[in-house]
Amino acid sequence: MSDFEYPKTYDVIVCGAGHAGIEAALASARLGCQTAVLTQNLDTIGQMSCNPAIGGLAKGHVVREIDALGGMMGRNTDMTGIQFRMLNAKKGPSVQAPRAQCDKKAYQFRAKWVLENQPNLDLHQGNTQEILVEDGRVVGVRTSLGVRYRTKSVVVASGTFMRGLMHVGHQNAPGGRMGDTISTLSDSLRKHGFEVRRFKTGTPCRLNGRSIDLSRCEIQPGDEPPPRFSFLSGNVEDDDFWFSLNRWRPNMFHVEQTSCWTTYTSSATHEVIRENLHLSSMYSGRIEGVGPRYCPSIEDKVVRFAEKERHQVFLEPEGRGTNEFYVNGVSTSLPFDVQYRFIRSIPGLEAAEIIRPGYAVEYDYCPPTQLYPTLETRLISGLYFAGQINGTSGYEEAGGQGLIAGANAALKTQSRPPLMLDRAESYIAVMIDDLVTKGTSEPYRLFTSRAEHRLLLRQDNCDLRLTPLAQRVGLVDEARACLLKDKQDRLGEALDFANSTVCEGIRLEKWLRRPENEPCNLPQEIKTKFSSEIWSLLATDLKYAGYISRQETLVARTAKMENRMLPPDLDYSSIRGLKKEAQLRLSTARPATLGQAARLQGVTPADIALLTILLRKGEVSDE
Amino acid sequence: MTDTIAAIATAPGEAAVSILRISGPNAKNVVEKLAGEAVHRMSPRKATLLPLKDQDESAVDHALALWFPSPGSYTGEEVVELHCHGGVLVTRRVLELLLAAGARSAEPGEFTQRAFLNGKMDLTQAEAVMDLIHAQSELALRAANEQLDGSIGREAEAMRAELIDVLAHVEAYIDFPEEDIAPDVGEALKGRIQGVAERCDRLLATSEHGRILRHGARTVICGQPNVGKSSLLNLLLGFDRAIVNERAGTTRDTIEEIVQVHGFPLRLVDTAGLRQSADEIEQEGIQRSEREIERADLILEVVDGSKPMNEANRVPMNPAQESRRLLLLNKLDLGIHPSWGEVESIPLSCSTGAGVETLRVRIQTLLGQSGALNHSHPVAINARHKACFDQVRNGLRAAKEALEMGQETEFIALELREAMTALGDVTGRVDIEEVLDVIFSSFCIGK
Repeated sequence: MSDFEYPKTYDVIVCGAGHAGIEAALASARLGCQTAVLTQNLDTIGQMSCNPAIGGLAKGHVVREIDALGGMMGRNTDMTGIQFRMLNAKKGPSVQAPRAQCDKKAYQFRAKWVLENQPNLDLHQGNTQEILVEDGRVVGVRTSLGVRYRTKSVVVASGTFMRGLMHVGHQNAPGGRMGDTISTLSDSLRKHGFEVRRFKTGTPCRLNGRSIDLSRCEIQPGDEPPPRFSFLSGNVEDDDFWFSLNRWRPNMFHVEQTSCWTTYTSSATHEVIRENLHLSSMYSGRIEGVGPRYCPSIEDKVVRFAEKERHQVFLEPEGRGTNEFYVNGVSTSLPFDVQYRFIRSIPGLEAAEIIRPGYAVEYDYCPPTQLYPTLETRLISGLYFAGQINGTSGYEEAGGQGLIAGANAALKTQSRPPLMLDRAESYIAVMIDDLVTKGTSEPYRLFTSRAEHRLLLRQDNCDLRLTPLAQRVGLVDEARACLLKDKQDRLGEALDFANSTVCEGIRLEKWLRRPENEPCNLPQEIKTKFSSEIWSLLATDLKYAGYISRQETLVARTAKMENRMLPPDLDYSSIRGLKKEAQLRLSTARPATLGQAARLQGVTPADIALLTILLRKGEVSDE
Repeated sequence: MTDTIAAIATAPGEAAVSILRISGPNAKNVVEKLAGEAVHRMSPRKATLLPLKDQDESAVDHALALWFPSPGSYTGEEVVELHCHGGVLVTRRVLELLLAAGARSAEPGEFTQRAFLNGKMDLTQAEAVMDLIHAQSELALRAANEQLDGSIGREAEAMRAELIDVLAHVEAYIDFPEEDIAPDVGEALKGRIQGVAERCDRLLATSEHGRILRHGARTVICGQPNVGKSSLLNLLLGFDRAIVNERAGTTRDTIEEIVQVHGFPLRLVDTAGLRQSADEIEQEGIQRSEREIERADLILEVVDGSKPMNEANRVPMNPAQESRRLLLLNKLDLGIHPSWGEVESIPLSCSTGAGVETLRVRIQTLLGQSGALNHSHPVAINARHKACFDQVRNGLRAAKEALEMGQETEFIALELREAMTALGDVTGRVDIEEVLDVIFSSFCIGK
């Protein structure tokens, strides 16, 4: 059988249509590139393979950043969410983050519809098998059916599908997700010289909601008013698509909220698990991949925290049009019959029917230290990686990388400078810098603690931080740009107003600074001057001005190091005085800047001092 | 780093042996110019006797030579050490010949700098070596050695681990609001912060001691004219016969001299003033004396003990100064006047030397009391460490205050992270991964 060469040539091809692939394809198309998405199954675009929720600490921040950069994840969540909450609402402004339960099916069907309607974007069902390379440059991809697509850039967003292997007890079967097939793309990557390793993740069983006794569980309602993810929601008109569940228009965001429920494991649960540990695929040594410590299986929790009498279990509806419940907190690879028994030992789940078993999945990823900060691979020009292939976990982390990889793949074909964000301006940059600089020893997840400039990276100022840049690059449309301009103007006006108005006997600006005062308690005639969003932004900026300026000073101090470029071809092994470990780390990581070098594990301040001295002495060319 | 440097490695002065060190790619060639063919008999790290001759082939000295081929040497470069017969003239002559043979005179600390640049030691070690070079006394030498062994490193490591623990609680509280975990907040968190602060304080207390060990305890001898201050000075200097150095200060009339008392270096300040005859002491001299008393680590107040106690003849001091003062009743040989009775003092005689040993013991006790001279304790001996630990303590204090004021946790975290960054300058940077390690091992995270 001879290959078929597809007649249309693309600028950018995205392999995979999960959360990374979607944002990559949309970003590329928004930049005007002829873009194609290749997915092995058009019916699983944007599927939430694990829990049907978006957001949370740092993750919610990332979704809002994606939105500020013109991405779709925030809007799609706002449109298809069935429960919205603001986490840490009682803590400080920079560590609050929105989280939403989504209607799983509505989310993915709307995602497909968005892709279908995006100008410059084509969808193709096809399983990418091979990356085609000529002279170190990517020139196309080949699918398992022998179809060749010619392109200038490729973004690989393969999720858990590369050589995916699913485990339930001692049984295993190839597949990236239960019910789906696998991809052999990693074989092609290995041939091209990439290092490939194994990670593992897991998912709990799903239950039929009709079999759950919710009266024995604790209710967890959504927040009113619902916090939103997109800066557009409540500002522009919504769309009227079939699967858009929620309604909004200027100054309105309406959600029919659905509740979640919590219960706890019991000592009987732990007993069942302990007795059957030898049947767990993980505990019997059948899994070689490394799993995430922040998302351990229930087996792991029971063993490692043996003193804990009970573990929390969250029951989360998978949608409005289904009875299926996600059982958050009991991810497992125990055999089905053991799952059945331990689930039924949990209060409220005594009669629960498992409709999908939980399982663990192992998959191939490429250590992300093989990437430039643009997410382009060092090995092959024009080839970009995003999402779980880079060793990350999470829809939000994937989406953020997808957007950057897609934008850079497009910008490269247009011979324009790449889009690179700074750690001081976004969580997406924190993640990418961590990945390409340090790599990761477990599936990488963002935490706010990973950001050294956390106080500047609030969820309420993502648009102010990032939209101007996105506008310059061409990633956002006119409507969003206008909205931002309007917001900036209003903020300026509000500050002037606060400086020139008296409230309860003192200047309003002073009133807002007082810790006991909240803008919602402003006198009615003042409050109505600006929207609650503007008041809240202004109050936060004023109240925390001292801390914010301290953090900004820190940013300025490190900026010098961040801007000090290290020659890309620097031979670290020839630098006498660098410790062996530092030589090794630097040679592998090839940091672009002195700042990046300083963040490498195993590189000490003494090593950095030495590099600084060498740069200064001119023994290492600065150019 | 391509030239070859040479320097006298041992302290100047008469001694049995003095050592010259030559480091750099041409070290062996330079020595060959003095020793001829004999250098080829040298084998790595073994002593070889070399005849050293000058340009006229006349013998200068016979030296034991040690050859350390690169990179197995102190500096990481080719190093030759020449152990010459001590004696100022001979040593200086050999150095001149080495310089004439193509070596360059080493800058102070240059050997250590090369060792650092060649990766033979990290920053802390290099600093400890610099302190070693500057060590003015045996105790300072021991302190420097201890730092090299890492006792300060161990203490700082312990503090680092505690701080990581505190941060783990704070960050877990921030990042995992939906988890069924109970990281320390409020009073419990305050207790943890306090614990680290106390450890930091203990380390800081030792840094004061480090300064004394390195630079000498600033010691002032004061008292009325003609009570025997100069005699005391001469007695201290003479008794020990251990003048480490004598150097002129910025003004012509301040001369500082260092004597050792039971291992403690005393920096006797403003001794020039003491040497002036009594009638030359003027208003300005008195003011300067007051300033010196204010800054002193040790105040030796001398009175004429043979005369009746008279408050008007005493040097006025505040309680803090008094705690650093020893009152010396001079002229014990003439008999101590009974009016001194119960006053805490040390009777001695500068003319006979009686009571001086008691004084030396009391000096040792007083300086050792600062809590610092407990040998089981790590010794923070240098200024860079002190600056770092000061920052650590400031960060901890700010964190505690923020907590007491009811500030949100992220701001407490900011202060703690600043403390952590400062500590990282001594112990090596703290990566957030280390904090996450503690979180995931202490708390069951897993929604």
